[in-house]
Amino acid sequence: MASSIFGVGITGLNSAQAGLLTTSHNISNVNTPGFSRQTVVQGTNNPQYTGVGFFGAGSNIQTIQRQYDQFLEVQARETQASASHLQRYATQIGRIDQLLGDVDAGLSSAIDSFFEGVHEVASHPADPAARQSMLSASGALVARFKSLDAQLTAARQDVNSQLQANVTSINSIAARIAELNERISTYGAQGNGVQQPNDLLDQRDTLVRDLSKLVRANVVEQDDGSYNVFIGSGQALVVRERANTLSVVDDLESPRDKQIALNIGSTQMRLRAGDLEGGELGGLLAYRDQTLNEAHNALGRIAMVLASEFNAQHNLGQDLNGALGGDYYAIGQPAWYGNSNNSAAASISVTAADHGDLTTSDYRLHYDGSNYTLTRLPQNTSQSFAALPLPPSIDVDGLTITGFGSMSAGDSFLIQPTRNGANALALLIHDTNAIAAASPIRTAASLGNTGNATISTGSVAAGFVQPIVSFTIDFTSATTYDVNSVPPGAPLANGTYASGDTISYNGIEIAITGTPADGDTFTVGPNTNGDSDNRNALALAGIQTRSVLAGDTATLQGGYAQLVASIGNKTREVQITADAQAGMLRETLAARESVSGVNLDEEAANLLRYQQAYQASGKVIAIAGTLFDSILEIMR
Amino acid sequence: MRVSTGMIFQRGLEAMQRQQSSLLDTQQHIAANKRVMKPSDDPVAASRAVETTQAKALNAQYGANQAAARDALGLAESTLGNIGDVLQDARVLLINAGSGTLADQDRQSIALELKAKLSQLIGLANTRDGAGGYLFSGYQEQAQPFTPTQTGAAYNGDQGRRELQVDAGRSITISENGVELFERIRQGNGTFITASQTVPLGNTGTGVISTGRTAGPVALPIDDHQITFDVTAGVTTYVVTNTATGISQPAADYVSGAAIVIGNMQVEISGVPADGDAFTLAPAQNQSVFDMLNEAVAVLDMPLSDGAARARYTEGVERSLANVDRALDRVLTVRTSMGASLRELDSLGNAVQDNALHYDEQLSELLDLDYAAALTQFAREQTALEAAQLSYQRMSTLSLFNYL
Repeated sequence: MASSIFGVGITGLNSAQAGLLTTSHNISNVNTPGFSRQTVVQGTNNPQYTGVGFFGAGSNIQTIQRQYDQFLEVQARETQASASHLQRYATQIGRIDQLLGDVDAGLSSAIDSFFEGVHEVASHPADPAARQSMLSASGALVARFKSLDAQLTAARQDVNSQLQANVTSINSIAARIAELNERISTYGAQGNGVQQPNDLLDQRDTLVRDLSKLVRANVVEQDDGSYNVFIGSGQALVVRERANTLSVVDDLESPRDKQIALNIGSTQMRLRAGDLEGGELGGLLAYRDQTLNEAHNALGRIAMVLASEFNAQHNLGQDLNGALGGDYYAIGQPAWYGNSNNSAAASISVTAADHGDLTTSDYRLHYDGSNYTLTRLPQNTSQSFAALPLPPSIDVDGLTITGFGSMSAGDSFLIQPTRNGANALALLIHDTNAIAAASPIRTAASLGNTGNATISTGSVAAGFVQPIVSFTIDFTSATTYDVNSVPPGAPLANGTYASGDTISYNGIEIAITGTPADGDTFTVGPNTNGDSDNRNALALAGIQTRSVLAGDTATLQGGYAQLVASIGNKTREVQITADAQAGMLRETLAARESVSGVNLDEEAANLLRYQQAYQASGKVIAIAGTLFDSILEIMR
Repeated sequence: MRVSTGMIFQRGLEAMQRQQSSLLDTQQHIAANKRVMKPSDDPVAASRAVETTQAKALNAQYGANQAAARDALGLAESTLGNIGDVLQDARVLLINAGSGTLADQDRQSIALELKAKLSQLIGLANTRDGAGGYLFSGYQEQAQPFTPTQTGAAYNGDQGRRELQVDAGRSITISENGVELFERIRQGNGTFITASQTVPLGNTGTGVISTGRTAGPVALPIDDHQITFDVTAGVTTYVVTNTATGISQPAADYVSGAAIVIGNMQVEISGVPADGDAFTLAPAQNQSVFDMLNEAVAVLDMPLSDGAARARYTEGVERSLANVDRALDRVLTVRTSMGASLRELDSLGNAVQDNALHYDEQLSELLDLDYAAALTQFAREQTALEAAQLSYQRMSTLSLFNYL
């Protein structure tokens, strides 16, 4: 009997020791990330049958269990992916927000100063100092555009290098998950599938959660306990003990951007940016495709429209040398990139037909063998066009797309209408005399006129006939006139007069008001030596307040205000959602912690409990010893 | 709920970090005195600030343009004042020349003075601005507007007028060209001119024709007319003939100084016209003020050999006087309109100042910090952080191990 008391005592000692061991393990891992507290599951030994019944045979340890809730773990993983996505997005967009933030340092003040320079020339057309100040302000505006563009380009490169860093981390995590898969399945086999290597499971779950910080991952648990991990639209990153690797590759279309590819053995599979949602990787890609591209395009569009409007008006003017105004700014051109997989013959060319209609989107032109589909990005709205040769060109949103060559099904092109606008802007005029402040024509009423009609200062329209040749408008009655050359020959044209009507000839438009008399003559001719004429400068200054952007609905400054508002709103939206998601993550992690986390007070209590159990079992053995001694006493 | 030890520390730490971050944010806004430091602080305000800043800059630009316009107009206006004075002097000289009987040398000295006025006038017409550009040569500020000629002065500029934009949607003319100012001046009474006949021979009588006037609107074009005198048996009659149509009115008896009415045109002829003397009426032409003065000098230089010559002298002086009056009218009209522009600029200038204030206020409302609110918020966040720190410290000391 006493021996069985010994035996029972020892099982108690062992059980208490196991409890103490597990408690110490918990205490020592109180700060280990991802550790799930463990508890011993204690049971009774099989009872011993005697004639009088079953005697208990002490206790045993059935298993060491980790306190773990799979539902909470999956939720934590999911929430982590969304939170990291938003957090990364918010951090990146915050930089653009800062960039556009300062009212004085943004584009706004540079545009204002530029037009101040133009007004200065309008006030003092022949003053070289005023002209120089306009040129300097123009140079400063170009520099401001380029500097903003450079910062956006740097932001793009930053995205690329962060993609690389993320991919490196993902690969290392995937390799460690695969390795853990192997060990877990081996240990699982040792434990007959009943006993689990708790600490390894914890490590693996922690790795998956770390992976979720980088990219959203779906986990499917296999029968042998290993995890298969999928990313994107179901591409396998880890399959049991084999890990595939991700790599950063050049985008097939956009040369400055990178794409993520999955390497399975020797085959490489490109993952679409839209599929890689969640985690920092998803956040980076979404930020690039939704915000950075648009901001870059919007900036480029302002530059392109400013340059084209200014050039168009400048071309209608006359400079101090008496020559017609040349191009003032170099205008950026739309860029297009053929997909690297396109057939060799496929090629297109894109030009901006109407700068006023340009949008801030990129476009993808795709040929499916019979139709051309033009998709606006990132909105993904598309238009289809019939096969070649009808129509031979597509006009859409201010673009002219021509010259398709012979395309094969599947060929596609990425079109970036305004991306280079800000970077390509350049000042073409460096000589103060070359600023065309004057109008190339001037008008005069003959002193011999007896009627009271007056002639307007006139203007030239695009496409006017060069060089300007003098002509006269000679009234043959109060209501009819001839247009004559100087000196007069046969009339070049004639017309019927009504007061205030615009008379157009050779692209020159003038208006005569009042009552002319028969024989009255008005002369239109070149504005030779018109140094102090400021008419074209006034027209140039007028561009500042004219609606020239977005289908002629917004001014240049309005376009910038739109960009500021759109970035500001997006930043705010992303920050608020990121904060909310971070709060949710906190709650989810707290829920997980409340199940799996170590509480030191609890462990202290357990220590006491197991200590007392140990001491009691020790007492049992001591008493069994005394009992044995009593028997020995009798024998003596 | 079961709480893990890690969570206690983690939560406490996170709470402090969050509060620190919002405290720092508030502090930065206070330090910069800006409510909106980046667009995301208030996207609507930030984008409106962009537009308001442009409106403010434009407003300042209009102010600068107004100053430029004021300079240009001020200089032109004061020059026109001087020109008016010279013409006024010329007018006084002509009045003197017309009064009573002057000795030849008196007339000659008046002629000399008038010549001097003419060159003075050409000098004023060639006035330059501070930057060396001519005021009255239209678009060609480098071209000297008038060069003296035998008959007056020739214009080298054009008919351009410069404008400046002085407000949204308001441009004002800041210059006048030489043609409008000095050359497009209708002679005589502004509608028609009168003269004694010179072809085939000058009048022999002492009849003098006035410069005439209009009694109402005169239909254009005005036909040339001739008033021909006939003295038969001591009775002087005249016939008015429309030279263009050849139609004559019935002969009328001549009364010295009585109005002869042709449509709405009226002239008086006084003195004693001789038989065959004739006077003409023609539509007024534009003439340059320099030519007019030159003509006046020629009239003053004219020898007064007989009554007929004296009559032509009287006529000439009267016509020159009328011409100078017309020129003076022209200068005054332009000067008045420039004065009106200057007054408009003054009121626009006030508007610019008001607007500048208004835009500053608007920008301040959009972007600037409400200090009271911000400081209150700062104090609140500070208290919250202190409370978090204190409770964290207390919480972290609680452990059952303290009692083991």
